[in-house]
Amino acid sequence: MSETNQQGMNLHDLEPEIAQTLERIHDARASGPYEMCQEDVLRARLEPYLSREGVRNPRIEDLRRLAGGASKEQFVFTLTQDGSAPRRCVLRLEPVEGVAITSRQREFEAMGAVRDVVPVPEVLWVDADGAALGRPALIAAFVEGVTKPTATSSNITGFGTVIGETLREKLVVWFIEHLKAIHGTDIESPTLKSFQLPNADPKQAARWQVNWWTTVWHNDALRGIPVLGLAERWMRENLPETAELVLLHGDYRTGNYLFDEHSAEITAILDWEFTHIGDYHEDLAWTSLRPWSHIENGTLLASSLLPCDELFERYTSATGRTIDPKTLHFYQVFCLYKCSVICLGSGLRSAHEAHNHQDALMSWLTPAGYVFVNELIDVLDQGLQR
Amino acid sequence: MNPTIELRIKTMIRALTEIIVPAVDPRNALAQEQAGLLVGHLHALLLHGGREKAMCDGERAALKDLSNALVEVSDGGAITTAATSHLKALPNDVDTDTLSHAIEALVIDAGIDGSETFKRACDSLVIQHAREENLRSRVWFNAMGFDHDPDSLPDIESLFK
Repeated sequence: MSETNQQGMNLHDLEPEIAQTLERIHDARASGPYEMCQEDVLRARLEPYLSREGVRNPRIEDLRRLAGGASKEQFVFTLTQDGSAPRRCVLRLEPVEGVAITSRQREFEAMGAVRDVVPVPEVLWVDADGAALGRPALIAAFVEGVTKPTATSSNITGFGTVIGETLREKLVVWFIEHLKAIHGTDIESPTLKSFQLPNADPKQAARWQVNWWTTVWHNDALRGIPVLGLAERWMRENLPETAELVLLHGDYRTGNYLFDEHSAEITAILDWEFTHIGDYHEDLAWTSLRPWSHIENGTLLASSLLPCDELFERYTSATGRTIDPKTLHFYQVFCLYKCSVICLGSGLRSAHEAHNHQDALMSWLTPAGYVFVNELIDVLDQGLQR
Repeated sequence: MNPTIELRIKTMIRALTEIIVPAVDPRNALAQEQAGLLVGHLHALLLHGGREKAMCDGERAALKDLSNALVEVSDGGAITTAATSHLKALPNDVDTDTLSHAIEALVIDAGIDGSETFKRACDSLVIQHAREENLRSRVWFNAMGFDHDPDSLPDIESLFK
């Protein structure tokens, strides 16, 4: 493929931090199979690390590995230190590859930037380059809550979560309120020092995202998929202008927040690894993707919470931001493309290279990509007909 | 007589379900989840019934048809022409990965200097190919439980009629 598109657009116009992260993975591609972090090894590294970070006489107790975390190794432990009460902590540690390769430093900064406006686990420490813990890692406070009603079942990814009417009516109020708060975060906050503003021209926000995920696809795809090539071409030909830049969560949906089943309050918003600065339509398109939405009486409930039209109306009412159908459509294509890349590109590649501690999960998740491609074909075809 | 692959997979599922999974430390949530995943993978493999080669052959034949159709209608400037020539020059027995990447590259490069007529024809061919092939993949992996409407999909047998 050529390095420029029809407008001479630089296909490598990427957010610098993202470009560095992708470069790091590219360099690690030749490494051998990933060896998962053993609990005794982790404990032996954690205590001196926390001591250097200023924790007085740290002791790690009840260290346990958690399930889930499709792209990260996850542990929970109790930290005991002199002069403070014991506290439960969660550690997220990144393997060489997974469904997505992102930056722990950015995740740390994003959670810090929003901690006063939305519920997030308190971020405590980050070993951004893995110098202390062997791999890049983030430590946050443990938060109680569930990601889905305990009485329901769903696939391992959270696909097909069903939330009862009474519960969702309460959750949706918080869901929109928190989205409004995230989008209202000061994007020039010094806390967000690893984030750059896509403000060189009005299309840069969309272009950065397209270049990010097409680069991932071309780096990771073991086999080409013609319709993803068509989606790439269509996106490059239809980049929307962004009138207002906001902080985006990047993976805002049911399954990525914890809630209390009794109070129906959202206790923590999770998974900030895709956070970036861009167009608010992107989060709205992501939230309403069909694979993690539920259909009830023929109506698709975005994130299994509320009808899409109602989501957009309530978001507009809460924020004053209007929804442009054409821009929303662009981001629907983009989000479906991104999900397809995550499953059929990165997930499969990490299993192929044995670069993740959960290779069996990576190969299990790969076919989920066909569900996203199925949606992509329809949404893309609508765009081609215009 | 040799034990069939079907029998061997069934015995593995039984060993996992009745012996290994109950013995996994209940505090080790990841090990429990992984053991469950292996059972799921084995169930899906059982349904595939040794027809992976036929599935791959079908995928390859569909890509070959798409390649021929695109080469036939390709039209444009130097970049589109180069991508078309590359695709056309691939040997008949080229591996499926190389073939698929070459087709995808042509589809993308058509956006640089492909003629409007070619781009419209390409759009239509690629969408048609995607609808047919993606449906095959959804059917093949229906047992994984990701599809929104699993009951609407035909069974795996139908892919090989």
